[in-house]
Amino acid sequence: MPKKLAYLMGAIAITVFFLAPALYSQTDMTHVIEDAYPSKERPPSVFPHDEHTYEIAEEFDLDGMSDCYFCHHYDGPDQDHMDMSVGIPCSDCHPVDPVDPDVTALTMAYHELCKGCHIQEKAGPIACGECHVR
Amino acid sequence: MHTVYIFLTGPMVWVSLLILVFGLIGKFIYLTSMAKKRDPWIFNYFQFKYAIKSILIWLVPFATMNMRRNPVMTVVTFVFHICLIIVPIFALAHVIMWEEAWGISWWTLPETVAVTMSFLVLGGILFFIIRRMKLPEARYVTRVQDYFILLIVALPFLTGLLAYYQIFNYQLMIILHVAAGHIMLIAIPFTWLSHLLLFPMLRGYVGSEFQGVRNVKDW
Ligand code: HEC
Ligand code: HEC
Ligand code: HEC
Ligand code: HEC
Repeated sequence: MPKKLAYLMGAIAITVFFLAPALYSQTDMTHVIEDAYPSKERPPSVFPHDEHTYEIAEEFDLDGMSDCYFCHHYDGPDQDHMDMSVGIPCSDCHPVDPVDPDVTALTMAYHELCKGCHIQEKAGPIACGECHVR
Repeated sequence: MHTVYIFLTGPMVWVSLLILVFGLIGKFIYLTSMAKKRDPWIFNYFQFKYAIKSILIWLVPFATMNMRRNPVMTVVTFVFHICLIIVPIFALAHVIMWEEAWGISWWTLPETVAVTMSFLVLGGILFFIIRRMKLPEARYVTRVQDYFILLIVALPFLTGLLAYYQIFNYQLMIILHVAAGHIMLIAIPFTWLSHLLLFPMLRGYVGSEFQGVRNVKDW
């Protein structure tokens, strides 16, 4: 019995060891893999997701960015409410080719969000090839 | 990197475009006032009808005697100029940047097509260089400036391709690319590149005289 118990505890320990980082991080994404485009012109953009919500948010004192709704907003940015859209892809609300001119198109949505902040912070990539790395 | 890139893709665009537009306007005023002094009669017999006709005909491949006499040069020249003008206006990255800056956008070239056309521009420049070196009648009238202008035109396309393929240091290359574009825009009014304005003026002048006065074709 003790042997089986030892195995069980060992298994639990290993599981926890490997799961722990996953519990702490939202996703291990390194690139924005966007499949809403019928065809793509550029390589996927580099995007260290969790580095943004943790390290970069902290280092650059970007309090908002540790809140998921900062990017995963529901009614657009600068809203009073903090509804989250985590789990809903950007492309669900920002079509590649929106019919409604008031809706921000997908590529612009990404560029405005990402580049906008990088320009403001004077840090992070702003030229095409710095994000769309070959 | 940040500051330089933002300056070159922001305020500097205004500087270059203003120099280009006012440089060309200034050149136009200067040339018409020269014509007033040297050949004032042109203003009597100048006719838009003949000017437009001459310009249009000279824009059609092989429509003129001169073009038929030099078929290779004609093909290279037309392909070169079409690519040279179309690529900067319709390159995807350029249109995206207009859209981000001003919210306006238009049709774009597929990237593979833009890349091919850029290679054609460089190929054309190589052809012009070799032609200037090898052909006696071209070599005779070639000055150092002529090679310099070819270099000014080649650089935006060369650095553009290197940046696109991310060869060498990308951040340096993209800055060089934007800077090379500015140099070319600014150089237009002050070099032979101003033939984009001189061409229609010259055709209007010659066209009016030949078709209107001498009653012969100017093509
Ligand atoms: C800097 C902007 C930004 C912030 C802040 C942010 N995300 Fe994301 N997140 C993204 C982008 C961009 C994607 C890719 C979107 C898509 O595919 O539609 C994404 C995708 C995801 C995904 C899907 C991952 C996958 O592998 O497909 C999850 C889950 C997620 N984010 C969770 C979170 C959580 C939880 C937070 C808050 C702690 C958060 N995000 C904060 C930008 C952000
Ligand atoms: C549940 C719907 C929804 C989702 C999901 C969503 N957005 Fe939005 N977003 C909106 C609405 C609504 C607006 C306001 C109207 C507009 O500009 O399209 C907006 C506006 C924007 C704007 C325009 C900001 C401005 O000032 O004009 C950007 C940029 C943006 N979203 C980026 C993103 C990105 C990037 C994602 C994915 C991480 C995302 N959005 C996901 C609904 C959504
Ligand atoms: C609210 C601000 C903000 C937003 C939004 C943001 N970033 Fe960043 N990002 C930064 C800052 C600040 C840095 C600089 C980090 C550094 O230099 O240490 C950075 C760095 C990066 C880097 C370089 C990372 C590295 O390790 O060198 C990439 C790539 C990047 N961002 C992509 C994106 C993309 C793609 C998006 C949009 C989906 C995005 N970022 C949205 C603030 C932001
Ligand atoms: C801050 C990072 C960033 C910068 C800088 C950036 N992009 Fe993007 N871009 C993205 C993200 C994120 C997406 C979403 C889809 C993806 O990752 O491919 C995107 C999407 C695109 C798309 C649509 C998808 C495709 O491949 O057809 C194009 C085209 C594009 N970008 C071109 C450019 C060009 C041209 C520039 C320079 C003028 C540029 N981008 C600068 C992050 C960036």
